[in-house]
Amino acid sequence: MTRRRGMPAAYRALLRLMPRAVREQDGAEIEETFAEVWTGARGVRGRLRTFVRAFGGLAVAIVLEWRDNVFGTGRQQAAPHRGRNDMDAMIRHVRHGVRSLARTPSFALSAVLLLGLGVGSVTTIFTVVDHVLLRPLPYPEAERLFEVQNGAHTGLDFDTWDQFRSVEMWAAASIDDASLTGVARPQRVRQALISRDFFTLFGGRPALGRLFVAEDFRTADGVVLSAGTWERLFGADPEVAGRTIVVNGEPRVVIGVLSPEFQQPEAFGSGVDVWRPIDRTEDWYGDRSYVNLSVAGRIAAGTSLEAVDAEMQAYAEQRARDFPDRYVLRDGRIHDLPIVPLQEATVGDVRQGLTLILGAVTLLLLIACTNVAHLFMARGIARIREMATRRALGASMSMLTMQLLVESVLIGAGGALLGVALAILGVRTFQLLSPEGLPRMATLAVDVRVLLFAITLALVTSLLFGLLPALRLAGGHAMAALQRGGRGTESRAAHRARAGLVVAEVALSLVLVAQAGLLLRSFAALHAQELGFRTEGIWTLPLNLSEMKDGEEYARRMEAVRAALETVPGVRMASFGQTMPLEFTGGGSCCWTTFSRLTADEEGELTRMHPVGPGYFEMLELSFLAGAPWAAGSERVQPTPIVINEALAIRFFGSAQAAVNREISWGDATGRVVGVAADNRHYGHDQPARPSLYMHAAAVPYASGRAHMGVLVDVADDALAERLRDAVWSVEPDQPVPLVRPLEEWAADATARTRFESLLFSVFGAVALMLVAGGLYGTLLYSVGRRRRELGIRLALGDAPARLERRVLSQGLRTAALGGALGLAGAWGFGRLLQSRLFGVQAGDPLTLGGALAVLLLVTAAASWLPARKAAGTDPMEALRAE
Amino acid sequence: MSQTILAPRDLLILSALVEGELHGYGLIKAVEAQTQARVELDPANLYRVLRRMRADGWIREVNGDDGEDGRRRTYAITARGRSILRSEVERLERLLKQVRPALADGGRT
Repeated sequence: MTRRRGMPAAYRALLRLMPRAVREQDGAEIEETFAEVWTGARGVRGRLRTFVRAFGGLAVAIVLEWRDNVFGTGRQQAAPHRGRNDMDAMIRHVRHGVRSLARTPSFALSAVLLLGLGVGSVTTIFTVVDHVLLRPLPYPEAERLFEVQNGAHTGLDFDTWDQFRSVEMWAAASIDDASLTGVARPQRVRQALISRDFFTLFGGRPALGRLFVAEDFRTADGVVLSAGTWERLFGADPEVAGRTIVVNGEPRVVIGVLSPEFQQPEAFGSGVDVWRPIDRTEDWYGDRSYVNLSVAGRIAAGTSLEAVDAEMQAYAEQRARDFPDRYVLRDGRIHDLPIVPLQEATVGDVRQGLTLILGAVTLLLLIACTNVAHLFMARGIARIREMATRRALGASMSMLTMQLLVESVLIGAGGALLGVALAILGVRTFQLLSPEGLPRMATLAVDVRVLLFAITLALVTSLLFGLLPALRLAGGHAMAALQRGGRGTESRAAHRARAGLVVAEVALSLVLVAQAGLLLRSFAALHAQELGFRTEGIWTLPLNLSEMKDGEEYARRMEAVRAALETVPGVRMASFGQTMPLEFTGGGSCCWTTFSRLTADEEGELTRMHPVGPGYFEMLELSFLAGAPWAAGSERVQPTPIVINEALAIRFFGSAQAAVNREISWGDATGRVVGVAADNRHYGHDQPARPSLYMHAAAVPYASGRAHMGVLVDVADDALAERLRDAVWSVEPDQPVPLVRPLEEWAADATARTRFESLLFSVFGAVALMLVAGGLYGTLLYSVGRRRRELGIRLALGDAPARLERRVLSQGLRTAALGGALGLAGAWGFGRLLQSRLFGVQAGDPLTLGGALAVLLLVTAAASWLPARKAAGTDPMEALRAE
Repeated sequence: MSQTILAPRDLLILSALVEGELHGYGLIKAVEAQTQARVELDPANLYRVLRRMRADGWIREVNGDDGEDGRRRTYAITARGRSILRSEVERLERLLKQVRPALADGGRT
């Protein structure tokens, strides 16, 4: 047997699905015949027809042959009364349907494609939304879990909450960066200090060794590894339990490895590599100014979230009475402790974005369905005559309806199938493209329930509109349709329905185009935003040095690293701060926050504290409104010299000028303002300036190894990163340097979400425009074709072709304008939902809405122009003869 | 059974075979030509019908058993097939005679 390639090979593969007896008897012949038919098909259209017919027929034949094979009813086919057999009738309908669709492959393919696109995109987005927003968290009794919000909490708070009657179990964690040594290369890892019931609450199980027991919290020297970390850093070494590793300079014993199924509670932060027990004897645990615990709990059986909330609010009020300077805000409100279901806490930020995308995709699906409805209606009108003829020849109404039903189902099923394929592809793509920080993306898979929903949608659309001709026939139009014959005039109602569909399409797509416009403008505004610091030419290296004793040592060691970096060729200057601008735009705790006070003022202002190294202001080119940076060598002056930002200056002193030489205190320390820096966008392009205070690194009152080095370079070459790393290692040989990247990349990250959304919506908008252009073009072309005779008469009677052209064009534009007007209202309404995600542009921005409308009218004008040309080009004699 | 009502496709296949022996692809082309390409048979269903017709004795295989040498199997109509075709054509002609005037009337009102 000859080897076949391409289509014949595919056909042959499917042929294997036939029962063995049939294959043995006729298989080779069928295959040979198909190859001949395929070779004989000419042109794209011919091939399409042949393809639909042969493969459709094969599918039907396979079903029939199996039926005969199993039930042995094959002979019935020849019997005279085979119409009685429902199954046979059904199969005949299917066959006829395939044949009928194969006659107009462009219709069948467009409808299937449109439905497939719609089903695929909606399923993809629904899957994501369902997975991220709606599915319960993978923890025991997940619906009873909650988080205590409004910042992190102290160990003292946590210990008191243990007494709550409405809560049966608590868990706390403090997540931070740490260095891991005692492995091949020093590594920067995420470590979590966790409370005793943490793994019980979140259902953690060991894959190796054991998890923490009470004893471990006394000794506090064991660690548990995450499964991924165990594989990545320890090569999945089965002997790892019992091994000693060095975390932040302290030796720790690995007691176990978590099972890979364990999903870290993302409300607490993710990517934890090593888990350690909280050591409650450490100083910070009992310190009221040290807030660093994320806290979750499980509501006791039989009580409610409200009960927990009540207990917690009572606690917050008591706490504010006991420590008014700490927990009463300036406006008299107390620092409260809201209780939020963990599910909501996990998805909170992304809920709105996903809901928005879901809305947009639903709009898109509606437009696609409208177009499918359109196709069906155009075809239905053309078929009224065929149906009427068959009806006159004695076909029963139910038979004709059945026929339409089958064709609709075939189209719907085809669309659904394509949709499933696209959905699988779409979900994969979404996983790859989605911005970081979308929770639970790793475990995403196409959801069967969602698929069923979308498939139902596709079938309903095709059924609803596929059956239209039957409805019209039943309405007694059969004879009228026959009489009108070739003229195939469409009733006024049908015409209005079709025009209405186009209006709806235009309106829906305007909404999408306007949203894309708003997001694009918002993205542009973010980019144009004055950051207030230099990004160009600055490369940064986040560090976390271990074994740091105090601020003195911090300043000394960081200064050594800074000096080493400055010796690298090509580096113009180097500096550092505990954080660099835009480092913490994706959430997370940026820097040390505390209440600063005027000496005379008992009330505090929540202030972000920025310990910085020499040259920080100069390198980032922060501009000063008053005063100047502290002079070199003034670090030991008391009160320590500080720089504050304008927001804090205005808050405390009314103006930048008035702030210079005034004193501000925090904790036990006092500083004297030597300069006021202009507000900048340290925390993100769209984040307003917060009261901030800069001080010399040595003035940090606690030990932290975290610093972000920055170097200003003239030219960055490929080897720059390596040279910078080597410079760090020349003074701190055991410290991990996980990241060397330009500040401009941090800035790009900070606008990633807006970029992702504006990209997505631009695609949606473009697809919508294409769909609406196609829809309008089809409608007008159809209407021109239908009125050919009328146009011919007009031309014959002396109407100018240009006038006919204008008439068709204006018909299209009128439809578009009506849709546009409706769409503007919709765009305005939708835009308001979008408002909180916009930056620098209002939802009702007239320029954007006007621009979107202009784009839409332009597209519709282009779509109307071609049919208009065709109308003008009608040959009167030919049009009249054609009757 | 007094009268076998043929499915349109069976009718087309039998009438194509009246003209002479044909193999599968030839049958498809003949039916296409007969109907000005309005009916296009697909291979899988065609062979299904042919198998049934052969079992009923309407047609027979020619060169059927020596598939070894790569020669194609062709089909020829039998006497029984001819008589079934003839009676079906007569039935249809009678039917058309009845239907035509009625339809013409209906169309003119």
